[in-house]
Amino acid sequence: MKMSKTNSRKSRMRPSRQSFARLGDPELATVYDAMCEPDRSVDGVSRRRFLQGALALGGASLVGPSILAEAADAAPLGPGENILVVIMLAGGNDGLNTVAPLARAKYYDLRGPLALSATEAHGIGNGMALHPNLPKLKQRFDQGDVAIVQGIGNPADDHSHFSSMAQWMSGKLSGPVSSGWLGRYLDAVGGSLSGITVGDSGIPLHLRGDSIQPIGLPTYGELYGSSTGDPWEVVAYEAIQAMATADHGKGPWAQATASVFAKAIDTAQTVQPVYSPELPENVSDPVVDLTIAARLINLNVGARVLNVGFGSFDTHDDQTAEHDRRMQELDDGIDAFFATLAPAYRDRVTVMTFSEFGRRAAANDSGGTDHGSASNAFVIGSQVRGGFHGTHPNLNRLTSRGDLEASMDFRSYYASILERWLGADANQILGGSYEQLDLFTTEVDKRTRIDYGGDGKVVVWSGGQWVVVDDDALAPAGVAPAAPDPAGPGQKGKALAPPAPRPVPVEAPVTPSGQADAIRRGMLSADSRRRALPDLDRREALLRFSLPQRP
Amino acid sequence: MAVNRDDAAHLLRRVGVGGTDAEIDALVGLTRGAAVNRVLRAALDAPTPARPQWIDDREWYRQMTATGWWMDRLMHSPAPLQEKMTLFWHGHFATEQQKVYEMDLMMDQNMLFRTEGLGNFRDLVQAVSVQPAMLIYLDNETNEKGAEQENFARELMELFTLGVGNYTEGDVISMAKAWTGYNTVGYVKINGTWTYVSDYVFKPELHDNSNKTLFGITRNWSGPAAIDEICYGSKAVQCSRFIARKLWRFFAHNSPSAALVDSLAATFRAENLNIAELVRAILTHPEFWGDESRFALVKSPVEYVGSLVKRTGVPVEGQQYHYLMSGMGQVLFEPPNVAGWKNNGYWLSTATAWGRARFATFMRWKIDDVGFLDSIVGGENPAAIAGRIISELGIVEPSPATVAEIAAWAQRCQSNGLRWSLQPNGFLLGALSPDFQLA
Repeated sequence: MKMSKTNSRKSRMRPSRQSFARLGDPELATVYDAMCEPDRSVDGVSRRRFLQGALALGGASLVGPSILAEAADAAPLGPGENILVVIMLAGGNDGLNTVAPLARAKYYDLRGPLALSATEAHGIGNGMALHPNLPKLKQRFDQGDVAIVQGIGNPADDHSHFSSMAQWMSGKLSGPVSSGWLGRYLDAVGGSLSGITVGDSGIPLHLRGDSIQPIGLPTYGELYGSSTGDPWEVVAYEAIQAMATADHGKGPWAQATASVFAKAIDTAQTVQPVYSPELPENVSDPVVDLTIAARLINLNVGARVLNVGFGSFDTHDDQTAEHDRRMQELDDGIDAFFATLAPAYRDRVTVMTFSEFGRRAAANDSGGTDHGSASNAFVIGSQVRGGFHGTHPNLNRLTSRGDLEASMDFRSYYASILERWLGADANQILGGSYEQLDLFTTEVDKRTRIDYGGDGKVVVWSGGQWVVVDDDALAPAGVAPAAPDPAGPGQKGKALAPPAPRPVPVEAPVTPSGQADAIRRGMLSADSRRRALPDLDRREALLRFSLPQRP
Repeated sequence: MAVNRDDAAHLLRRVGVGGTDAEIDALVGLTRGAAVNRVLRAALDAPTPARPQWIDDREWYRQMTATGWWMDRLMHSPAPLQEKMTLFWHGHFATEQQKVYEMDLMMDQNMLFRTEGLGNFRDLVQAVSVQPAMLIYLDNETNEKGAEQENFARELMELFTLGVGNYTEGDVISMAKAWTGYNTVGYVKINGTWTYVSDYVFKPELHDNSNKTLFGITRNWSGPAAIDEICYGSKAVQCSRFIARKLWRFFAHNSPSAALVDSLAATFRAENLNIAELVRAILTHPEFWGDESRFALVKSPVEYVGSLVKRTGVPVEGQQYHYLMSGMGQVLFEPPNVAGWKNNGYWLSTATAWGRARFATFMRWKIDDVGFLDSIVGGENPAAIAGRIISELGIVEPSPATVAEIAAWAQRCQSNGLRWSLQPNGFLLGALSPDFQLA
């Protein structure tokens, strides 16, 4: 008897949620896991529960069997129906170093040694440049297939992974929440395989609906129920499926349990083809996961919203190497996705990115950046109106916390996708009306670049103000300022040389935040914790009281 | 009322991860009260076990070690209720290693649950609140006068003692002030190096000594005094109800009537918040033994994996538990968030079904090594094969449908030249049957 590969005695085990637990800040992994509970059977929860991302409070007994009634129907989408692929950049992607305003001297001021190299970054006009490790995305941008949405932020942002991620995922700032913004869309359109997340990290909140049950496809595959070529397995599958239709006389949970296993077998058989041919090996997780996502679309089993998440983007220290890798993974992943996607779906798929926040405008003293606020996102696809959307934050007018100032509510971004790509009622899903961006086009010339003012002109930041210039004046490829900037050493027509890296102080600096960073430098290795550090002198004084005592 | 075999198996599924045949038989014939007393006495008299021996300095490996150690205790401790209560409190006072980041601190808390988990509830809340694991996890380590941090204050009331609706937003603010200054030592310079010291310390000058209004009472509340007020003062009824209901749902079923909760809560208060007595009241209640409770709970991954490993005797390592259980939605020392794990529907989804099947398929190639089900030779009566699978897995009161489907499957295997698969897949079918997956 031949045993199939998937059932060999060597159990191939891969860690779940490996991308986060392995790479990231423990805090981040915690946040991500909190958003990815196995359950979608939830009811109303309090504000605090919301902020903790603890989104499955109670009520389990109220749902139960009824949620399992749906059959594993794999109805294909109609020819005109659009598909959305979400890439979640977990941990707070540094938007300022993803699409960098290299033409502004202030950027080099703020970023010091973290500033991207003007000669390596890919100029895309408007004085902006893509990260050096995004060359393939640059090609797509040049084809007009990439929209860059700038200045997006969360009005309730409080620098917390927990609350920001919960807000971005749910599409709500506060109040009871039981579902994600795309989950509510999926509730409306239905279909048992309409929402699928790929990866080993559970079902993220943004895909969870109030009634819909999204599917989580592990990267490793080997789904129980899929070895249909092995008769000895098939007879067992059939026995399990028969148990689901039998009356066990042991109450609703026996029936519910039997049903969910039968459904798992059905689903495994439906989606198993995405695991062959062999997935690429020795590549990053997003490449594998996005390849699976594209194959799922090609399989045409009714997937409308797909999610892939990876990280960590929480680059508090030694950012350059980490962020370089993340950008490479993003570029490779997007490219693998489109390379895998069948031509029939090219015009029906849009890819969008999101992250819970951007990072602090200024680099910290640990070679990294702390949690920030406004950031940007990519929208990619043949039907996308390429170019810049929204207003880039003013680097000379940071918030009181030193963050980039948002000019657009992230729910505007969502509303644009919901209304103009998915054809959904954004008001209903988001619980309010938000301005929509013109992110998609069918008849308008895609090469028309949408600029800061929306008037077709290209502007650059120069001498403390926006200056309208001719695109051609930017050279090379738009990475130099159009006019000398009194604050910087750049000069027109030449790539701007970044200033010398700021020396890293050896002694603890005087400001409290500087002290905190100095301690981080000494303290925070891969094993260390990160949390708010109050004034340390006072802490030191408190040593006098260091004997544990209960008042 | 005398306990029969099915009753004994039911009790042992709920107070542990299910019994061996010998453990079940030892309770048969006792009265319900005597059977419960035996289980409780064992837990109350159990010595404090030695902590797991770390074999690696890295926190991640320590977590794997602790996971294997705890699973082993859940399965094999002579006092399973001690471990089950520890699991309950781990989900109740949830803290996550990913944030606490020191397994020694997580183990301090775990040992507290083990030694005090059946003691006085007030004492347990007081103790867990000032352990570093909680101070770090809910940020009270940085809660200080003038810069209040509400995280712990809110969860203390919402999740640990009272539940939503039994306090106001104003109470949260006052509670946060009451808890100012109950911190960890924090970062200090030791031999010229800034070092994080996680020990609990009360810092009087960071404590807010102003008058605060909590539950309508204005005075200079301290953190511990506020806990006493909840447990024994103006919130005692709500607190006792909250805990009684949650423990009932953990042990019996999800939908206790208000009258049942009230009666349990009254017992809890009358017994001076002795947790063991509340547990006794739950386990001796007729409804715990009745149809309402029987098979009304889906096994959690800990219970599912624990019962499979215990019945089969297959050796499993901490790391294997960790990875395989994460696919089912439960990782020890990593509850999903401060609200802990839910139950029943929480454990059932396509993805978690794949996770459970993955564990069972991992096990099916290992059972032969330990001789589990190796008495099946292949030519037996299909009904006998089904019976052996059911009984070796310890399934009591099997549904006729499950037995019939397994027998029909066995016959198909026999008539299709698949006899060799009767042992591994017979195990698998039993393990994935609804009967085995219910607690």
